[in-house]
Amino acid sequence: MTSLHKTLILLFLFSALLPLYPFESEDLLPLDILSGDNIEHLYSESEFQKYTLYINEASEEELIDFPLFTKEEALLILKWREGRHLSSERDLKAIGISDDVIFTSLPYLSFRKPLNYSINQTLRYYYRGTETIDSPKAYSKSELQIDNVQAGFALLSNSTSLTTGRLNYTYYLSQSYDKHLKQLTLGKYRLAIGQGLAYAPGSMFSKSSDPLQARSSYKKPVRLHTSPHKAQSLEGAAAIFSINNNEFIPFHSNTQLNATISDGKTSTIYPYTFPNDNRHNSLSERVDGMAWRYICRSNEIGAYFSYNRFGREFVDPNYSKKYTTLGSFYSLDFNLAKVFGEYAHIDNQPGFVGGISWGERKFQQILIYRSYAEHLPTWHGNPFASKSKFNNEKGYYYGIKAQPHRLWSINLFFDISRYPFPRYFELMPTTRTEQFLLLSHKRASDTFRLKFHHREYDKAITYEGESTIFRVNKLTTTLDWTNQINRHFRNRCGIDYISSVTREIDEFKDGLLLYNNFIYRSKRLETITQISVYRLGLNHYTYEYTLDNWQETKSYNGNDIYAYQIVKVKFTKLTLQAKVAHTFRKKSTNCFIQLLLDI
Amino acid sequence: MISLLGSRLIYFLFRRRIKAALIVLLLLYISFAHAYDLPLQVSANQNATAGLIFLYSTPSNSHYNPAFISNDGIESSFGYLFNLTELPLASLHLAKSYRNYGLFLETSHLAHPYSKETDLQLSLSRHGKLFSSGFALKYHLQNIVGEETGSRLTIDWGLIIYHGRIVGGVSLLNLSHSAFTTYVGELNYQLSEKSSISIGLEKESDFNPSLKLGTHYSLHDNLTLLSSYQLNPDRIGVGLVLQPSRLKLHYGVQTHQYLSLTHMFSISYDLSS
Repeated sequence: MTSLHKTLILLFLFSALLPLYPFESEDLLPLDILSGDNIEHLYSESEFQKYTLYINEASEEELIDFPLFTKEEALLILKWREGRHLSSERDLKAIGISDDVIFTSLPYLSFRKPLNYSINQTLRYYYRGTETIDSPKAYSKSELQIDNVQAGFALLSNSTSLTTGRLNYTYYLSQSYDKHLKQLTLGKYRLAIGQGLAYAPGSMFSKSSDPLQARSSYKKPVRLHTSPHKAQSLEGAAAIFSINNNEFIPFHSNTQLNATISDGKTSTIYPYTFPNDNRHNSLSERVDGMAWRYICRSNEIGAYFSYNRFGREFVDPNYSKKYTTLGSFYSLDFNLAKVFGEYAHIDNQPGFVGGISWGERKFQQILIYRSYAEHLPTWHGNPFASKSKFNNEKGYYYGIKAQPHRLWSINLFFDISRYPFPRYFELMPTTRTEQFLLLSHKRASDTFRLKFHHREYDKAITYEGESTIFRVNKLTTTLDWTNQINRHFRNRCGIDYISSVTREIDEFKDGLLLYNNFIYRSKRLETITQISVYRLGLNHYTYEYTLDNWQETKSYNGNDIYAYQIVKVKFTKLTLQAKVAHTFRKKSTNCFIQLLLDI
Repeated sequence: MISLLGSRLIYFLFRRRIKAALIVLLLLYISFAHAYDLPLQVSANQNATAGLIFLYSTPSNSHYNPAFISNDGIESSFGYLFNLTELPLASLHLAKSYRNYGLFLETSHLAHPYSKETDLQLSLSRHGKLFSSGFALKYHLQNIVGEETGSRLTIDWGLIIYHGRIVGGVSLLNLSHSAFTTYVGELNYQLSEKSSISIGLEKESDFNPSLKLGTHYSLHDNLTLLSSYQLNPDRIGVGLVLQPSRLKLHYGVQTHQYLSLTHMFSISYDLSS
């Protein structure tokens, strides 16, 4: 372990003591310069110097509270403003405001509409190191928002320098309008249509502990692609035109994808590579299309068409260089039940996902059926499926969410899927079933959860020199306790037990993971500390916190102790975040440091 | 466990002053009965609920528990097992109650070009405020091409207990042959006026138990949705009942892991006054 590792670890372990430092848990009230007549007693003159009253936009209260106007003068301005606009001091004079008042107050008045803008600058440095490998990365994101215009640019470098490293990037510009043209977006974007069968914004549609979330409901059909990663992004232009309850969404994309090329043909497409990689930008893709949806209250129907062209043929002859995408979708709310679905024909391969959810508030159910053809292109879609590459799948999903008592809730889901054609190493059709049960008991400050997640699936295993299909049973049992100590402190501890059985070959693997997670949150400071101890004979995946309160997947295997610490300190316009994670026996360290400047 | 349960049930029956003759008669018949296969789900409702009977009351429910008695009515069902036209299944059910006693008659026919099976069932039950009990005589006739026609007589026994919003039931099917005896249990909880949930267990001798979970939800006065999940083998069942009048239309579909769906349709008529 290098001295840098040790310094960083010590620094962040000590930072766990920061919550004990007497930070003010309540920030000082923002400058309330308009509240009261005796301003000189409340605020300094220098503070008042910075103040501007937008006279045409100010509310009645703001005008009356403005210390340089009397109440009568404020009411005169209000009356004048009705249907008119104050454009200069001459208008104030015309109303009857005295010259002295105008002279004194003019430095603090503005007759123009205030410019609503914000600038966010994020700088993030990653450091991932073991005893032999160091892999630094740097990330920068700049965002500017002026009224209804949003522009941004993000860079990801594979070195600590954002000028010399090999870069991935994204850029976008979007403007929102009130009338027929609701949105115009240039740069990198994602489409979110229907149930995400042909076009989806990303990994938003999957099985989770809330069974009802399996249904997709996209409110914004065009979304900015703010990540430098290319996965499922389009590059070009998209717009939303609105006529009555209809929305028309034309889109155009011309981008370069990362793919393995074999004999001039496309073999596999990858979401993420760096420019020094042969796969980087090796495949051009062009998409032109149009979507339409009709929205009435919470009901939606629509259709879409696109023409997709790749720059190369595919090695697999079942995939075409040029193809059309045609689909329709619906989501209807009948109060008693909601029905939803999407049918798509992509490259002459059909796909359908549809379902119904019904029930009372305390007892809701959902049923989803999906059927995706063997060679359905999955480049831009992400509908409900058991795997991210969702072609060649048929399945049924049934979920229940019940609250039999105010303190108790039960979440259940069951999934039965079938892969009618061979996939990966399984040279025959395979099946998979999944059962999930979450039992929660919630009291005032304590939440106890007991979770069972069982999966049974066919898997190709090499046994005695031969690859054979075996039936694998995997069960994850989780018990955790969350204690909200007070409004600043929260503690969660839990235990996961994972077991896997393959009966045909008498193979049994299991493992145990214990963890404690402690969070302190105040207005200025936030710390998250977790320590995990595990002894695992198989892979286990959990979610853990990362910067910006996001969660990411963490994989565990072997016997080790793993700890991470996140510290987030907010200053007036600057937020500093850092995360250090260390695996003790493996001696690997990950660091993330982020600066967020908000102007 | 079963013997403990049985002793408690017998104690319960005696405490309620049910004549022991009923039990003795039932036990006597066991020695004459023969083996029988796992109960087929012979109606649309059973297909949708994986055989859970307390979710929605229809005459065919007595097939799974002879202690069950629905409103007086008649029900007829039809479907193709696994969507195979070679496997049509048809059944007819009749339920009639008189004072505290219930009578149930059922006939079902499964046809295959090489094998035909016909079942006849007669159930008798007695109903109280807290519990119901009953037994059934089943006659099974099988005709396999090229073989002699075979027939068997078996007995089922069932008990249902009512406690507020909770209904529990146990039944022992094919008591005559221990290798094929099937134990069926179900617990139903009325969540609200519109919905209820059932948990069930079905265990055939020498096989792993099958767990079941089912729900019913009255979407509308005239429309009820039924759904279920069965573990081992894994199946999802869904169904709906249209009930515009005394005449009801039932539809149930059940998934199978490897085979195609089984769709079943039933039509029932409520004869109660």
